[in-house]
Amino acid sequence: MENHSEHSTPVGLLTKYLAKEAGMDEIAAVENWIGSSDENRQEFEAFNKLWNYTAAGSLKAAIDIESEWKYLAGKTVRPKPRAASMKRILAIAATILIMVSLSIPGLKLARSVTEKTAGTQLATLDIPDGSQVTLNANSKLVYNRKFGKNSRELSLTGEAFFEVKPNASLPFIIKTGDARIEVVGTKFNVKARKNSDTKVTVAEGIVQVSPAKKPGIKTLLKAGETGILMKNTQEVQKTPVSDLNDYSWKTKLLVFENTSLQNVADVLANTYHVGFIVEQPVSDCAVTVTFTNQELQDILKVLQHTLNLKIQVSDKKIILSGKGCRTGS
Amino acid sequence: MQWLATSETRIQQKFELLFREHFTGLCFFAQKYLGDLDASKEVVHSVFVKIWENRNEFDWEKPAKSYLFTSVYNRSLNHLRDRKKFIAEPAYSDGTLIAESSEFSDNMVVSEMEGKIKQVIQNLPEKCREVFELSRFEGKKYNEIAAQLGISVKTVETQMSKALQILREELKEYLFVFLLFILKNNDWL
Repeated sequence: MENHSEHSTPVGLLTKYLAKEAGMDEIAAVENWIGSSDENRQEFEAFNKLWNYTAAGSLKAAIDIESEWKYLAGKTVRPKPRAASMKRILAIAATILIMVSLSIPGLKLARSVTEKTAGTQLATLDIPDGSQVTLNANSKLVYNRKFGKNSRELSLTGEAFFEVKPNASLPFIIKTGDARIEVVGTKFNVKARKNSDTKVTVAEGIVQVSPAKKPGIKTLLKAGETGILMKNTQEVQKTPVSDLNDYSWKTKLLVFENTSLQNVADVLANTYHVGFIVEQPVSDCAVTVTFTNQELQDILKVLQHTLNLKIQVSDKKIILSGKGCRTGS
Repeated sequence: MQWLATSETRIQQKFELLFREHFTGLCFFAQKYLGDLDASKEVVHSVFVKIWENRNEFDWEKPAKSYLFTSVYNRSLNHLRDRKKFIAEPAYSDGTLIAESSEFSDNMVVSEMEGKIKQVIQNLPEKCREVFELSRFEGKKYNEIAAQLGISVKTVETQMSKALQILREELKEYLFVFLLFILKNNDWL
């Protein structure tokens, strides 16, 4: 996936040089590298411009694309109920149906609100305490009608990104099949698909995860950390780094670094809600590329050309096959 | 791949993608005329609201970049006129002429680049972004950053070069255009 000049570019050294943090030996090494070919000189020029450009004053401006999109979406794609599309009406009808069916076994359940997504649809929900939950496709959120008054407890099946409104006196508790997650006010992703490990990725603040069966055993996760509650051991494993791709389904930002095509396909499946079959030997091909807001078709085109893939669609699944990749590339 | 989404959700997705791709750059662009960031944001939002209102007539297959910049340009000038801070008539009223004016296209290239850089910086991994911003926005030395964040100088080095590597990757096509642009306007930086 990378070309040769990138492989040989001493990015670390160049960065130190540009930052004026390089020692004499390093300066000599960089200048020697620049002088050794036109290609290197051009590459240095690109880094140099980039370096100068990132100091531009305008870049400090506070533009947060997520909140700007939220603002615009409120005026456009998520307007008043009056303008509801047929799809939305059906979704509401489905929710009501679920609520009705839940109300039959007992009164306790009838007091709950269920939000469900299916197919390829995401949903952004403003829940009563002022927090916001983005539900990935095929996910379900259930909370009490009185949510936010005396407690903030809800249950999740599937995947969701939480932006919890801070309230120290009322902890925000998420129950999944295996886990109990407690926070005060923060942003994080929870993936709790049936028959899989539960994965919590923290974007901001601190999140506390416990196995549902052993609520006394608490694991604290800080921003940038990931906790996985293993299905078989019911223990939480903590990783000090987060995979940016845990948020891809919401951000449409995908970052792959020496990632096997099989793992790439898993991320794409979760982001674009399609099934993949990756055949041997291409499943082991290493991929290094970043996609920002690309359509699946375009991503597939890039993969196809760089890995020489054969792409077929069968039974709503995308099949990737081919001759495989040279080792060491 | 028609089965991927129905047409209404497809339009919604395209709309969101268009917004996410261009919003930051368009704001920087409007800011070059209006000076004020909040007013610039409002102008850009109003252009997107208009597109959404006309979504069924809008050609979603056609590249929308020059349409967006032209609309933001016109609205920015209107905005200035409304605030009576701008007395002269805009130099051009026809979109095609504007697109050929060199000031317009230079501002467009620069703003697009700025917007893209801003977006990439915002999407850097948290620690990486923190280190990078302290270095580039606040002009701090590596050892100052290390002391402030309680990390080693080696980590600062690693994060800085990671940030630059990601920027280089992400801005590949832009840098090419940008370098051509620099050749044309040698005194620009």
